[in-house]
Amino acid sequence: MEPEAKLILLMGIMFAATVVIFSALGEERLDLYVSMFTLEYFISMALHRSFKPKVALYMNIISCFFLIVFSLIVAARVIEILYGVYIWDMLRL
Amino acid sequence: MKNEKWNSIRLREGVKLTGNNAACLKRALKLMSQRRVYRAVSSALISSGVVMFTLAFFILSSTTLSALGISMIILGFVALAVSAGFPRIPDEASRLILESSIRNSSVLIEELGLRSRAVYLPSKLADGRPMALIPLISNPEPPKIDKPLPKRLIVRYGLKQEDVGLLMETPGSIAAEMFEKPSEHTTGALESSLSALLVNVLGVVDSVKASVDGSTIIVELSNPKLTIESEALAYEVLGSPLASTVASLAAEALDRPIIIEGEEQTRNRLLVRLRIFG
Repeated sequence: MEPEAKLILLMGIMFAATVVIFSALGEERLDLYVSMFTLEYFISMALHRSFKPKVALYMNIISCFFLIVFSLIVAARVIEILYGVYIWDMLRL
Repeated sequence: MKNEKWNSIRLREGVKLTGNNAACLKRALKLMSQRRVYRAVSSALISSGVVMFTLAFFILSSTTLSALGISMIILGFVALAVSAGFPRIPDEASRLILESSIRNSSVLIEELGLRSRAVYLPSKLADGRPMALIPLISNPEPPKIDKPLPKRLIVRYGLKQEDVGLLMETPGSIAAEMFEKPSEHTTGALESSLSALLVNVLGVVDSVKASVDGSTIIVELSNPKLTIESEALAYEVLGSPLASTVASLAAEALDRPIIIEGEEQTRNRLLVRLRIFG
């Protein structure tokens, strides 16, 4: 199997396992799911040692996006702790 | 060709995939380049992920399905990024180009009557990139090269009159541009660098094992995908394309000239024996 296919397969298994386990535990916080996906994405990237330059560039863009999303999740949690405002509920309205 | 067209038309009509049609799907997938397969998968994942997330988050208020949608979007984007790494040239065209290049090298080698094994030089001895030097006169001992050779086809590498050779680029010379030179000259570092390039970047083998014993390096390549059945003279002098690439990269990694002592091809692996000297 090609390394690229292995990477996607590994990520797919990890994401599916996260969704199944968290939903079985009754987890309702979407930011927790996204944080786990971010962590799993970076773990898979670390296991896959090197990419072609063009792929590495696109992967870096995805990584930057994940970093921004993760920062927003952390910021939302900080706001929730400090001001008691739950951002996710505001989004759903 | 007619048959392939007929197969793809049958597929597009959505006929039940049994018997001949299953073979038809297999063939159609084979005909599609990997790039297109990955692109098709990524667009399917992204579009279905977006639809699932929108429905689950805004209408159904289901966290589990929203998370599933997000994971599909992420996987879709990763597949899209990975698809950029697949070559635009079809496999068959690449094989033709490689074969013609080997044949041209063989003609040149035969015409000049070269019989000695090529010496793979690191970039510091070959003006910027690792090259293969084929000495005109075959000696039992490989030539000693102390200073960088000029970037020409016919070069003089020693003080004697017969110290003349052919300086050629090999697939490894170009692959070296993508090669992460190991910081230390250990077996582990060499194996890791070779593996990163040959397995992950070029995808020509499934795994690489290297062992250094004194001046001998043994590199074991499992499941090589770059095998061309040929009796070309270039193989005798330069080695097979894979062995040649490994030799160039090992020379670059260790910063020392290397020759291919031999290669052994078994069913699923290629064993390349290299000798370091100089």
